[in-house]
Amino acid sequence: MERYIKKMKNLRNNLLGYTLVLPAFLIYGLIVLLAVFQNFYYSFFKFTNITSYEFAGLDNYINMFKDKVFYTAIGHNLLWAFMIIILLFLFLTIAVFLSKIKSRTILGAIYFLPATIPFVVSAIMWGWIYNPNFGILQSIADLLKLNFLRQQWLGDPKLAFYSLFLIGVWTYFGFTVIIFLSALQNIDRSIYDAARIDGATETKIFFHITLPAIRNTLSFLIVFSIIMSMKVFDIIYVMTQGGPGYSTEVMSTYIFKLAFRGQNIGYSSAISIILIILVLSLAVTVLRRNQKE
Amino acid sequence: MKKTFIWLFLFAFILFSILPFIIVIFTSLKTNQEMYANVLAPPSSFYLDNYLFVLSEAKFYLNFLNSLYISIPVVISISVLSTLAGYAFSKINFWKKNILFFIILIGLMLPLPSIIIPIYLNLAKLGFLNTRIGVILTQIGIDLPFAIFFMRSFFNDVPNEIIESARIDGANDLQIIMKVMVPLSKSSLGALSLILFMWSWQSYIVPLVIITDNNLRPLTVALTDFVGRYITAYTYIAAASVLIFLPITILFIITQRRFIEGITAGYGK
Repeated sequence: MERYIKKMKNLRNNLLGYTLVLPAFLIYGLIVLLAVFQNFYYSFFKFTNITSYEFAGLDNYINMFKDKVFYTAIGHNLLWAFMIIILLFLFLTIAVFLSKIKSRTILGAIYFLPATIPFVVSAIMWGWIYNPNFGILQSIADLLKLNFLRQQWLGDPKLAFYSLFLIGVWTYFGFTVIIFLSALQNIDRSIYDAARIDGATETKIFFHITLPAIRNTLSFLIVFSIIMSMKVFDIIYVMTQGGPGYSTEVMSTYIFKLAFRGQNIGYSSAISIILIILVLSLAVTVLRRNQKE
Repeated sequence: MKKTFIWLFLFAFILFSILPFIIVIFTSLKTNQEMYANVLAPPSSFYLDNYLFVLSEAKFYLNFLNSLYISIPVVISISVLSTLAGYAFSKINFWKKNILFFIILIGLMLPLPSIIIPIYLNLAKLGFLNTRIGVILTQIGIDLPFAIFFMRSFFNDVPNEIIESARIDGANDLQIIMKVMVPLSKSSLGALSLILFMWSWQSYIVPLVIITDNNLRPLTVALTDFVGRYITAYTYIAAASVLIFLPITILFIITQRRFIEGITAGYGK
């Protein structure tokens, strides 16, 4: 009897669970998951245009490893990730300072403001700042006689990548500050008071109390930032489309251009698959870590 | 002394954050001559002609409506779907639940440019290219995983006793969701809706690829068109930009406390 009740309960739970999940899963599956499988399938074909293609085996994958642009693009993604991770410590400093003042919520909101606007608008704003003829930086250079600000910020292949990176920082730093701040506010105040009574300096408190206490948040943001950096696309595509030359090319812009401009869908899909595998393996590392705790 | 240093440091980042906004707003209120004379200076008067030009010339009201026609159905459908699915993932033990949830989480990591190509081809086969419904469906599929993740972590914090006692009172699961869970999650659902609204308002690549008819395009795509047409008319472009970010920025300012609570609840755990 008891077994029968348990069985019925299981059946009821399965039925109920799947009924509730099904509508969402169906839409997600048909739109997003299906697209991933199609990507995988396309990656073994050579497209001459959007409708005609023939089987090409592993050609796309083999070509990828000989493609210099592919390496340039992946290198830019890694550089982006590396620079963001270094800067996370600056963003953490902002959050630590914020936690010491009263108007922290308002300031947090101000820092987050750039993330709320459409990035096509950000692109216009920053296009202005960087404009070599009458841009904001040029005007500041005129005003303060700072000649080093007179640059082709987006036109110079040596600078363009870093100029775009600064826009990336502008839209992203507020998010990290908010996340850091909420972690900082969860730390028990009495630990700080006790440490101060014992005569610990602020630096010591930071390294021995604050940093260990927010370890999980820090590692979450590091991994999240790496994933973001592997996916970075919007602002680069709108501002430079990967140029001048390939000086700002990242994997996503290369994938997009190959498919929509070159109609080279098979090759584009192969790079997509590599990018997806890269991002997913990173993400699985995070999930594993979270599950352990 | 120390306080001053902290404030100077924080103030530098305030400037970094809002200076681009201020300059665009300034420029949108200037005449062309005034702008070329000095980009940095504040406008000498409250000159509104740029706005009037943009509103009359560019049919922005049409694109504004299109943005709403896309964002509102997206927000409503995702809210409903993710409440149901989030409840199931949090409170019901069903077969292979963890694997299913993991598959949904994959959606959080996928780079948009790599899935947009097959999506485009599929929509073409279904005849959904150049329709709002094509954009809406795609946007729902892309943003659903975050919403489900978000609602599940909210429901995880709701104690099971509440559900048990409702069940003893004779409520079935649908009633529990509608009469117990939804009222409880009002503020979380509000924060989620704001985030989702912001994302569909910002969305650019999806409508760019799917919609070619200008009468159906949302604001973001229309803006790039406008920039292409008036490439040197910076004061017009500035006014158009302000018109596009203002609704979402005002919404954010009004709701910032709840919004930021939502962001930290969604990611901070």
